[in-house]
Amino acid sequence: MKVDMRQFLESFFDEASEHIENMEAALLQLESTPDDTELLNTIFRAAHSIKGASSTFGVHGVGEFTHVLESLLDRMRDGEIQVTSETTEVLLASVDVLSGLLSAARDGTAEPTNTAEVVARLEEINGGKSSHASGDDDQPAEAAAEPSSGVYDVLFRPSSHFFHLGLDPLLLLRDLEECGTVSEMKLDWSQLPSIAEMDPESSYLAWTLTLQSDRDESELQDVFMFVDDETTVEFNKPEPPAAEEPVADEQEETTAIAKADGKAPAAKASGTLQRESVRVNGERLDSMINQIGELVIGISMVEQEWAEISGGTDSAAIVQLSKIVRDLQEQSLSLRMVPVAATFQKMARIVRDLSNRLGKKINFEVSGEETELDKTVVDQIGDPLIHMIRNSVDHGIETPEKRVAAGKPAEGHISVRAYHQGGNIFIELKDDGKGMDLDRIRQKAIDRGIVHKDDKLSQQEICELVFHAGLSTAEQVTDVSGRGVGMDVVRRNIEELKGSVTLNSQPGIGTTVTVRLPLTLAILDGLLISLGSEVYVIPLLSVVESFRPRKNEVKRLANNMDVVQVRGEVVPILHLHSILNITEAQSDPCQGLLVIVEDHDTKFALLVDDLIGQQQAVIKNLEANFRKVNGIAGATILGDGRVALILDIVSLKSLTR
Amino acid sequence: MANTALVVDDSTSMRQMVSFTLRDSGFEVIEAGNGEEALKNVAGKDVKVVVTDLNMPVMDGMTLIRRLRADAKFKFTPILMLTTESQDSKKQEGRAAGATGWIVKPFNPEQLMQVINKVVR
Repeated sequence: MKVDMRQFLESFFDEASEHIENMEAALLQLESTPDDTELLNTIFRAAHSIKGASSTFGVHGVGEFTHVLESLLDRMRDGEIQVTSETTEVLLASVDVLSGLLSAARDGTAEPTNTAEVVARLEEINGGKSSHASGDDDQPAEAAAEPSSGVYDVLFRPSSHFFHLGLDPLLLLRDLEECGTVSEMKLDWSQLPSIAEMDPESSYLAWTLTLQSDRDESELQDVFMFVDDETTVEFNKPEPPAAEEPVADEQEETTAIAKADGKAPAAKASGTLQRESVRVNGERLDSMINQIGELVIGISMVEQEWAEISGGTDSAAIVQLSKIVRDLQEQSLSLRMVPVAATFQKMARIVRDLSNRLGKKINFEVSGEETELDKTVVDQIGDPLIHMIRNSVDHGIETPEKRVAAGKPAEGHISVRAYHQGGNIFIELKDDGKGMDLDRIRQKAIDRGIVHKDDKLSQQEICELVFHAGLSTAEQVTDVSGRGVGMDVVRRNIEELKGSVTLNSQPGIGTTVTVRLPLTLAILDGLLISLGSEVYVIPLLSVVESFRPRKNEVKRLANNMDVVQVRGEVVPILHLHSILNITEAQSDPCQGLLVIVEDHDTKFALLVDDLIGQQQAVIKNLEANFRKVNGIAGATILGDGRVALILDIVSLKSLTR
Repeated sequence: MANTALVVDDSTSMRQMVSFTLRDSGFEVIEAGNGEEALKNVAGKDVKVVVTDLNMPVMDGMTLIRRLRADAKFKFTPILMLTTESQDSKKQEGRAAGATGWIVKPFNPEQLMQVINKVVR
């Protein structure tokens, strides 16, 4: 039988990474609850599964390493070795090594350089106790070392409960027959009770036979490897063996047994492989999702053309098809969705490592880790989140002494939470640290000419100054404000994902950073508006309201800026047509419509000719096909085949200033 | 009618490998990811041999073996457990629970079939 083990490797790797994630999560929990034996069991089970499978599938480096790891875990589980910060440390390092070894085997990356060191530390904790299994006493009877073979007198007396172990004496006798020539087989029924006393499920019989075989005794014993302790199996040599060649004593696993089975394997797999997950190249997936996006546009075009031809009567077939296409699109987009759990776990690890190093006590709390996001978003949000969590641990949370002095519990608290709200995902990072020094930040901003010293800034506005490139790249600000290095980069990264970040800090009480992210980058709910003969899409998320203002509500300021009064609030008007160079569009707000949009709590009004309606837009990246255009987030194709540009509210906002 | 085997392992890759090997040898295979699922999936079916992992969530292999043995239908069915070499005590425990034999990890498909051929023909 030749089975290609590679076909199971993908599953193995997927599974192993999952186990590693579970191990890491459990280890991090174990630190705060060292008495939780179930956590140790979880960790052990994960290591155990990786070990068993990795050796089987030929990933030996991983197998050997897990073996050492498992020995230690086993003793920890038995309570022989206590859970200490040292053991946790080493176990976490082991998780890293394991993960490195696996990616080395999977992707051909370099093997972790500290493997030997971690193995040494594991063995040290394990008290130098040999991590290898002590001698195999698998053989029920002692395997005679005599290499000779010849004629044996064999006695075989199954135990009374032989059948209850699923064993069958007949099979064993047949196996024995295949090892050589059996002669003089005798049935011993002397132990058979009277019919009245007989239990038909018990075994009362024994056999004696003479076996001529060229195999040595240990090989013959292998036939009986599964019999229980109460079963008698004896091999006796009645006379000195005739001269024959000694058979090499093969040191094989106990599974390597009588090789007499001549059965030819079935030529082809008779069953189908069951798969629970399939790994797909990201590009292929993207291309498929893109094609399905085209399909959505296609069906819209068909709908529109049909409407023109039929004069408004529905076609059942088109309605049906349209529904299928839209379901298909929804499903295809969900293929890209992954939970944020892995990212949160990385954060947990960083909180742990960093707080240990800094001598801080931090209780890290995670919720909503099952919340799903587009894989691209998850991949790209990792770094900004980690940057922010570092800030919280490093600069936000005070040392235990300082906390106690400030009347707070010695243990700091950081929480990260993900949740859905109105088509967005929010990730909220909250600490109860010392907060930011608002006066110093303000002073720095004034020194750098970012704000004027007479500017009245709200607390919120001062907080958000750290997102300013001029402030956040300044090294001194780190020392002063405790936050800031790279926060401009963080914000830029998040905005590239069509998301936003807000920050609020209260001195002495703590800091909260909230990141808003779109569910997916591939599609958005848009409000279609007309401007002259053109159609544009405004992301619906940014839209607050739309209305036609009355004459007295619109005012022109001294700097030629038009504003509109909405329920007492003054909102600047952006003449879209002049920004976009559209001549025949409406220039009087009172003749057209104003769409109020919002970004980071700043509102402004877009002057448009008319609203067309709402539509899901499949976003086509403009940069990939053309170049980046200020004010435009991308393009989409409308039902009638026309191209419409999607407005980028974030970059339009800068034009209002 | 083909012989049916019950394969129980929480590791998908191991389960796939064992099932594939058995199917390749002409078995029909019922799969399960843990003991509880195994009992559910095997209910009312005739099974020639059981191959089960020991460490599993929800219901481990040891409990599964005991539960199977307590069922008249599985009184004499060969039950093989997948073990690792360091688990001699587990073999004893397994034997006490009613296991027929064991397959030591790591193993390859040939070794697996050799062991299975020892207990079912």
